[in-house]
Amino acid sequence: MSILKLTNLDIGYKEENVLVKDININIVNNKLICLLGCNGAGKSTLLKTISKLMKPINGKVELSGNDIFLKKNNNISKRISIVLTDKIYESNMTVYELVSLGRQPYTDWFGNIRDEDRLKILESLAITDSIDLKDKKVSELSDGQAQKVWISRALAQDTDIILLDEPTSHLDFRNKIKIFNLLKNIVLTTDKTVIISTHEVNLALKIAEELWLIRNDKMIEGKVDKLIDNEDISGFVDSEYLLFNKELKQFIFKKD
Amino acid sequence: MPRTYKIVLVLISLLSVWILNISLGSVNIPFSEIFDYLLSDMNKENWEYTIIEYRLLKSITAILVGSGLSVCGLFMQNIFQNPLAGPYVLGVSSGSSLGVAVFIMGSAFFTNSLLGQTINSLSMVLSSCLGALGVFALIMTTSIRVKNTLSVLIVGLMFSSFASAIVNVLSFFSESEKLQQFVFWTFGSLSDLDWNDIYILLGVFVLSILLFIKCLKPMNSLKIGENYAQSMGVSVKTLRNTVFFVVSILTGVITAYVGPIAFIGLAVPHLAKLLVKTTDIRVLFLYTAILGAIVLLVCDTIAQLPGSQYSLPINAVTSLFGAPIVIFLILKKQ
Repeated sequence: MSILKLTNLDIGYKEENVLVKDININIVNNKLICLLGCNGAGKSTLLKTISKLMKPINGKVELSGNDIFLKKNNNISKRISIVLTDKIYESNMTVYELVSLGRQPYTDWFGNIRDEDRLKILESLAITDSIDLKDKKVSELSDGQAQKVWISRALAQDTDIILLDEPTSHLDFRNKIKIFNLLKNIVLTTDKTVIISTHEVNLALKIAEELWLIRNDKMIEGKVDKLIDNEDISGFVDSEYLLFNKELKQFIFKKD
Repeated sequence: MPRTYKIVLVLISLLSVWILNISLGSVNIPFSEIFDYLLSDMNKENWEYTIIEYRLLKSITAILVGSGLSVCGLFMQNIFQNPLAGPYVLGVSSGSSLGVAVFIMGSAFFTNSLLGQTINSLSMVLSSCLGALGVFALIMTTSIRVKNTLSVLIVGLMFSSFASAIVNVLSFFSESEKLQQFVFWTFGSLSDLDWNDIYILLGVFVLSILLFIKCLKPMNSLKIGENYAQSMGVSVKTLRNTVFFVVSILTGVITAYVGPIAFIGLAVPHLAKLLVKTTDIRVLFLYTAILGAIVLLVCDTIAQLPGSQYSLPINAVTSLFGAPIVIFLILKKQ
């Protein structure tokens, strides 16, 4: 059974300006995927299209075999959750309140939280090691803590797929590794698929099972080793200062 | 739980402020008389009872108006994600004023004087609603393009000045009698309603509250942004449109009956937030509704200047109370 299937997908904001053309992907078992591309290449646009926040220009997005842009499959809130870089208006809310919002697709019309929801909320906080933060205000958190809490919210939504848009962009290096490891662990211990858009090429090479590379309005996808062997990776970062080292599986600075 | 105490406390204050509001005024009426009136049949012919009935009507108006405008403010603040939004500040009330101005001062051109009194007051409500809908629609359209908090406020201000410019032009050409009628309406008055008007106001109020309650769950997820709300299955478009209609109609009807009341819609949601330290809009909604009634009852009691025979325009009192709160909020934001 396919978890996520993209067929002949063209994405972009305007028909005359397609960002990425003809994307074809079929994810069958759960894994960690990193989506790489330059600024403006269409990473966020792709994540937004998959999560139905915007319409594709052409093609289909299917979740478990259901086309998400058909009327009858209107609600995908139990299948895909997102972690964005958006700023929020109400930063006075507590961590617990924020994470409990993730249960909305499962609560009744008034949003009453039941015991099983409470359990799920605590479990989600435990996975990201944020239980101690639960009574703190979101505005009081450090960037690293905040990111873990937002991941907890997505976990509480209990979906097959979690999409993260540049989850480590404000973090120091130690926290970057922490978040990536956390996401890796989520994939290993649950049956969730995690798709991360990121600029951390070296981290992605270390941790992801599969990479999606966006370059010149095309998307190349494949296992990390395959992409390294094909030289797709080494051509990907086009910089006079960097060099790809196949043994170390990472980019290093050239010697002066 | 402390919140249970709080709600009891708030309800008790509402009741006491209500009774105080009825008993105070240019004529002092002892509490026992008021209870007598409320508990006995209402047909006794006594001049004191006439006063009580007049004050009772006025106090019910205050409760519905205060509560209604406050919840409109709460919803507008959350829909626009803007702590300074409210029906008055964003110009929805001005839209109503424009509708009413066109109705009162422009009526010479298109009303038939044979039409009855009820139809007249209903068409005034209608034109007020149309004005509110018009301005709110314009603000919604701009707010989709402009995300910045202050820009939306400035656009609202511009719509208000635009509306008042048209009102000025109308006033310039209208008869002095109609102009006077309009000017008195803009001062705001809670005492011009009869029981029929109250029933209409109550009907619209109850319907709006029910629709608002249905929006509470999706509104809660909107706190973390439209994208997140949408990803949790909320149709942001439907939610926006519902709030837009309910706020416009409720503000329109209220404004038609009592005039443009300033700052209640903006200030009361913040008082509620100060009282119950939560961001759960379901809790805030309840407290905002009750506090709105309390605040307008208090403002009305002050406006009557207890012990004297004068009474201030209600709008002056609400501004005296509301404007400092706005300044406080802006300072707090810095």
